[in-house]
Amino acid sequence: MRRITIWIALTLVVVGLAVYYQANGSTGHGKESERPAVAAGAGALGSFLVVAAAGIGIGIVLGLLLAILFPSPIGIGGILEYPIDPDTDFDTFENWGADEGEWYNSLKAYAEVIKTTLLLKDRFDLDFEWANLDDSLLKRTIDRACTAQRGGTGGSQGCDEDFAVYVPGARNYKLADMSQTAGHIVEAMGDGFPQPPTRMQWYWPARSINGQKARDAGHNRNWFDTEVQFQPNVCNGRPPGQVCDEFPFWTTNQAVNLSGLTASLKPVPGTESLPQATDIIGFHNKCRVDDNEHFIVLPIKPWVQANGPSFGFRVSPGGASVCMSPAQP
Amino acid sequence: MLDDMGDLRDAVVGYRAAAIAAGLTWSAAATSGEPPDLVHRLFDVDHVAEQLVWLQSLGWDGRLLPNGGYLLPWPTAGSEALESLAFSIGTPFGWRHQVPLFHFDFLLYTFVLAGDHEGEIWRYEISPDAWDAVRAATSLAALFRQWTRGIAAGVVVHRDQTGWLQVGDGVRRDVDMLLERMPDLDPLAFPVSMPEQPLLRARQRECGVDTDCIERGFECQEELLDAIAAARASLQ
Repeated sequence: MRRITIWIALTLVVVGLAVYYQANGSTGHGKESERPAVAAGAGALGSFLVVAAAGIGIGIVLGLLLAILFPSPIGIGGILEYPIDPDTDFDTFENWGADEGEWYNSLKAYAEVIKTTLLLKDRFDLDFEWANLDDSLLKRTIDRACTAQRGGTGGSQGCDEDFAVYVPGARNYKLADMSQTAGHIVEAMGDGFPQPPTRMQWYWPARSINGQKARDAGHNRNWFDTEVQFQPNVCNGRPPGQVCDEFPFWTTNQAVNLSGLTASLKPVPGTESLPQATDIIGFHNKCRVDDNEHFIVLPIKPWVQANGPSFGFRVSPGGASVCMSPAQP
Repeated sequence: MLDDMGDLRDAVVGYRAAAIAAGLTWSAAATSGEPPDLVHRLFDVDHVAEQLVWLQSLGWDGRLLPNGGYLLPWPTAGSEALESLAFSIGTPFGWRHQVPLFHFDFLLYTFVLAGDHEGEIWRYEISPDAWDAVRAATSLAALFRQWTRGIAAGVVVHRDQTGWLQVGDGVRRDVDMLLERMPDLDPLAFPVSMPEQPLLRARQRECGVDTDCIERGFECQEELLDAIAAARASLQ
């Protein structure tokens, strides 16, 4: 629909220009203005029809070129291109439905992240700002997560409605340290640029209570230590006090190699395993993520680096609201 | 149950010999084993069993237990020993009357310090959803004997890749191998995750675990987290 509108507009512009120049050509030369009025009128009508036809022809060619160069509708290619930033007053922002509302739910997620991080920044006195690059990376990450949600593997798609989002922090929602674990999630997702790109699906796992999906597939809980097919790996020989952290989480449908990719592993301090487990079970319960229900994992590097705590929120038809809020400091 | 000291020494010596024979490099540096006063305050007890003091005096400092488990040292100031009990919901004894003893990546074994269950070894998984607090063994000696039997049965083997003892053959599920060896082996004595197994739930009932708490799961854990926070605040 949008492409047709643009094509018509272009055609009208070309026709308009043609008529303008035709008109200028008829009145701009003294000798021609001396011709008899009837002959001049007939000539002008004939020229107008020819030029208008030519204009329509050019318009059609331009339209075809447009269709070839931009096979998808021209518009906003993701919230990365959306005219919105951390300084936007989301309470008065009126452009939510632009581009036929494609990005409506993505924007709600974006606004909720910005609002919540700025609120927590003040509450916890964090050294944190949304720099331009960080803001772009957040938008890009949300675009990727939403694309994964829609089953896409490239380009950008807007989010569907009604989903929960887990934002891992350097501290869990009870404020216990899990900085290296959260850092591992950020790294596993390529600092916002998943490598290989197929890891993009890891933004959109589904809960699997007790890791039942992985158990059904025959995996041990400590698969990284025990299963021959995954040896060697970076967790081999870790010293006492270190545990092997895995992402995607064991309690999802993407554990071990269920996503078609082997989970990312990293030795982290053993003291972080309990905070992380507390965070995940807190998110699932407070944000009401049921067994087999998908959710978004949204790692934000600057938030982890600023020692920000984890939080969770839910995007629903009515808006977005925090469902797992960090404890009071 | 508190072991007879001679019985406990025999069980530990037997385990050590079997582990070394299986290929494990043993590493230890003897210490006094005496608990700091902090232990009494943290866990709200007036004494610590000599069995536990003796075990700590052995100074095991490597991954000497199945699945790379290791002996945790006595808690020190600033440690998170109390916080690490956060998943032990529904125990039939005061949650605070247990000290973290062995660490296995995603499982914690504790030693019960007081009451009718004193001397028992309990376990629980550090994992969302498991809610699997249960008795691993009636005593330290019983636990080490199970592990020694596991080595003898070939269910616990040394792996060059990790450098420690491992439960299972690396191909089949570890829990399936253990279940096949019942009743000679008690699967729950081994540091293997099995929250989906009927055996676990049956053992919980048998041991007096509060099944209502297990059913409530997260809600019960939040209550325990609050209790831990309150205990921690009272120690300031």
